[in-house]
Amino acid sequence: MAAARRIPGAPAAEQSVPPDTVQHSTVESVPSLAPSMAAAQPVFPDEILEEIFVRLDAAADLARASAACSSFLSIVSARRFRSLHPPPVLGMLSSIGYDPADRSVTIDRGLLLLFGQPEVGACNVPQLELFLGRRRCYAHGCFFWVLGSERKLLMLDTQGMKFSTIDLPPKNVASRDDAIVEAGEGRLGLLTLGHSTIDLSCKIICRNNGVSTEGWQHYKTIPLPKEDSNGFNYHWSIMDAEGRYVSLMAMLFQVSRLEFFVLDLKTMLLERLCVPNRAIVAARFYASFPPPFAPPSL
Amino acid sequence: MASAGSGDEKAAAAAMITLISSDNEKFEVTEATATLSQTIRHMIEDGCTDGGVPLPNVTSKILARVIEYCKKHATAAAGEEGSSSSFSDAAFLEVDRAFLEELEEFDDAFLEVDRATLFDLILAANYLDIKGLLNLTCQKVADSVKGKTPEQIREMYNIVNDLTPEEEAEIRRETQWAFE
Repeated sequence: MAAARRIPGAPAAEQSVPPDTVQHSTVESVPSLAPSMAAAQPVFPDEILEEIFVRLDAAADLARASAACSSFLSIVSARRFRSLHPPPVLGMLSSIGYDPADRSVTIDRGLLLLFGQPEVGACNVPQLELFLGRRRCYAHGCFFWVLGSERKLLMLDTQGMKFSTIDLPPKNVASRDDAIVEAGEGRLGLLTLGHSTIDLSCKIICRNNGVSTEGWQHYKTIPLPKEDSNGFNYHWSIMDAEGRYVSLMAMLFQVSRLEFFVLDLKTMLLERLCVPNRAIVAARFYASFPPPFAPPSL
Repeated sequence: MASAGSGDEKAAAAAMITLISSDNEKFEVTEATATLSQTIRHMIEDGCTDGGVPLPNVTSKILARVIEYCKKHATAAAGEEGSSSSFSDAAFLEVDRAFLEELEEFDDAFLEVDRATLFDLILAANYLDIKGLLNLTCQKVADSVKGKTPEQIREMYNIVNDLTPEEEAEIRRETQWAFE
């Protein structure tokens, strides 16, 4: 159970626990975790600790838990765990304003600034990409482009590299923008931005026969804040959508300020990511594991 | 009428499974309840449940709680629809809100246990391969860790800090943003 010591930050050794050979601790040994007993190492097998840590969504919670003891650290930093846990969003990548001073990767939650693209390839960051000048979304192994005026969705299935189109629901007068996300249980989610709400509609996606023919079903309306703490109005737009995350930009015209938010569709939590001090027109997520969990890449 | 009734009873009786806890207590459950456990489902498929299913890793106290969970959720799965779609699938869109709320309340109340019991439930859910129960119990432990410092986590779970001061300092330096 006790993991071998290793230097934090060094690449973790692969956890060699084949799923079917995991020992099941007997119930007798469990109370060593109970508060009444003397301090002892947790007796959960690694696979259960993984089950627990994989349910910690925030990078900060993972980082703090990993600092509790060496076995937690080795589980959280293992490659196997990284493959189970979706990487948390660390910041935004923007295409403008290249400043050498910002090139060092500042992992300051919400402020990962990698302005410009020269260094992008070096640190495994997805390249900025524009297709027909439209937003590209990625979900369930497919790329999607929302063709808003045609009310169509262009889908590229990366398994067969085949394009197909899907009908979108008719445009609502109030709807301002759409994006595609993963909505759980293999469903495709369509986000429609309203004045200060986001509507999530879902559709079953089936790899073999393309997307099901049944229509979009409205699932939820997510309210967005109407104004900031000083009472200035937010004007929302969708910046980027990938997997279960969608990033939103809020413009505050009265004070000429931008704020970036990320909405996690699994937890339905809206979190403010950053307030940049210059205008950003296009930005993509940068989701990864912060050190010491991230593989050394710079 | 009467004969139809007895026929139903017969069918129901035939689908009963006996589970035997580590302290040799026997629990009679329906097949629908038992097969929430993938482990038991496989045993039933292999036809090796005659004479009861011994569960040497689960005490009667814990097994009783696990069965309570499975009964509730088996009813839920059957009540939703008889189709092939799984319960979680159905839960996502089919909006039987009142029903889901009731199930959520049941789950919340179910988790009102001391830590030792919670850990025993996790081990049992893992051993019996009951996805919903494993998710529920592991989420509870994960939630208890959220927002806590390493010191608080150690104290909560009686964990000995076996990191060297240098290792700990390094983790804190590299993830300083997590400690502010």
